[in-house]
Amino acid sequence: MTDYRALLEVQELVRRFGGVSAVDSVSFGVAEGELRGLIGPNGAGKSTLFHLISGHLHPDSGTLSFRGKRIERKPPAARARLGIAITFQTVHLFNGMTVLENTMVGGHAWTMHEWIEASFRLPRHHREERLIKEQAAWALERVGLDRFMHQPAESLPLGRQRSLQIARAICSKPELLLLDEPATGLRAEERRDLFALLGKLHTEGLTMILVEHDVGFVTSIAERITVLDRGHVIAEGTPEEIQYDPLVITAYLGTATSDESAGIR
Amino acid sequence: MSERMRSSIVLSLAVVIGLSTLALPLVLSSSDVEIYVTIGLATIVVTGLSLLMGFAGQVSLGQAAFYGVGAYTAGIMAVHHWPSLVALMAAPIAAGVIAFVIGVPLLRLKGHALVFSTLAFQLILLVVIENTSFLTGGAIGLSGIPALRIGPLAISTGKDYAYLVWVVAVAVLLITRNLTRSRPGRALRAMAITASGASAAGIAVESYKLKDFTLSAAYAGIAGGIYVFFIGYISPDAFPVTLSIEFVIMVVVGGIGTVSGAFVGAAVVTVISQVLTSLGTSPSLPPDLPTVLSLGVYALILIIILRLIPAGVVGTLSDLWKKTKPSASASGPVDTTGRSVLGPAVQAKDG
Repeated sequence: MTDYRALLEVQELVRRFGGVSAVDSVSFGVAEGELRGLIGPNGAGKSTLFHLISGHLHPDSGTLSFRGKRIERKPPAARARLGIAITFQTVHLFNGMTVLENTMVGGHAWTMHEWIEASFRLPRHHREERLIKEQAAWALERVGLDRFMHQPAESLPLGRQRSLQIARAICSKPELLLLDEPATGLRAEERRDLFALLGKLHTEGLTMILVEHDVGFVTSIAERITVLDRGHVIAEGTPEEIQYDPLVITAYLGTATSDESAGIR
Repeated sequence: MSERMRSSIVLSLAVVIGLSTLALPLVLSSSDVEIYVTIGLATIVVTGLSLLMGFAGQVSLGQAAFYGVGAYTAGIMAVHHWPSLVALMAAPIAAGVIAFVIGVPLLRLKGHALVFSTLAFQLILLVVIENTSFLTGGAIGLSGIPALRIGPLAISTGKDYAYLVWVVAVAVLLITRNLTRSRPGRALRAMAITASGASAAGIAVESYKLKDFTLSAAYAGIAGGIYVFFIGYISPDAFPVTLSIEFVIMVVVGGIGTVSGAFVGAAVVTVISQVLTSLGTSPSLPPDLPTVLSLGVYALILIIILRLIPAGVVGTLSDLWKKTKPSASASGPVDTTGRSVLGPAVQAKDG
């Protein structure tokens, strides 16, 4: 596990809520270009871990390193500027803005011009706005939303709203993309599109962490899977390895719905 | 309506508004010019407040305080023989600096707590002004403020101020329009909708809120600076809490977060308040009547606007305007399920 240089290195991460440790000394590393699945039954701590990596929660102890730089105390905006992009489980769109504008917000992370340059239309404003717009148009094309560019974001159906979140993340030129349950609530066809899109991004070398409830979805696309249960990492390995891991099977059979246990076997 | 017809309508409307703005001071009586200047000053303040309310999602009930800070800064400096243009320039800077300093703790508050803290700031400021009479003239006020001079130009008549205030107002509107249609403007709109979504996109939400608060105070400050030279005398009475409320009403009437709404809201509310004042000051009526009347009417306006046209005058008109777009009736891109994903008011260029 240490034969590669990890892009993201999680070490002994702890986060408690009251007396409960939602995440309890979790450690793992994600290599550059990897598509990592993060699964676990309800209440395993997936979402807490996700928010610890995104910066919307701070750990009680432990460290997070991104490209060897410690980030566990940095606010979400600073992490985004380092190249960590996220998509939320509950879609966070900027309602009232068009699909294109929503995507362009993602360009905030790698551009610099501020209020004075924007107010007086100074050269850097023009240059960066053009670059953001190009990147956004490209990102929308990637996810197949370019036709809907000028529509209000909230008019899209749920599946496309999720794609829009991914487009916004791509527009931020991420080095690590965290996806929180992107397949939840999608119809079969939308799920296939999402699967194809993630596969495409993966072949292009984008590092991703896929937090997913739907075990079948993750095992079919991720290279390696980390399994959480009650705040602990109980297994890590290839989809084949974890499917036959007795700890994983027990964890899922304890709380699983028939869907999930079907996915695991 | 064709695209060409639409753009020519917009253009001619802009020309008509521009020309009448220029011509009006020449034909208005001196008391009407005063109203005209007041509308211009309110437009400047309301543009900033609208930027704060509509883009950063913050409400300030202390905007008249920053207006006052600007007025007192310029007034005190002018009385102490600073060049009047320097005094005017100092007004927005002083208001901005004070907003920045108090904004650091205040903006940690949310919702009602923030609103009341801005109100408290104004009340505290008024007490400070009344108790520093060596500087501010106290409750009696500060008089003997010389006329504004810009180089060789003396700005003395009401007409002069009418032009000055509109030059500044147009500059403020343009700056704001540019700002809202750019990276920082998108960021402000995004964070007003979802702060956690905005921070995930790399937007430093807290610092943007503070910048917005500072800028809106600076706008109020420059308006206050012009006001003090125009009136030539100021006292704490010129900056009552009701003025702050009036500014908020103007934002709501014009349409929160619409740049041109600032002007419409300022004009409508100023005219209404003038009518009420002249009604209330007719002889045989009790002296408190204007205040009571105007508060009652503001409450009524607020209720009517929020019930009937929550997007405000400009917001509602621009929605209606969008509905006249040529492709609105044509079928837009169709979702894979077969139902049109376009609402009636929406159009896509490639539809």
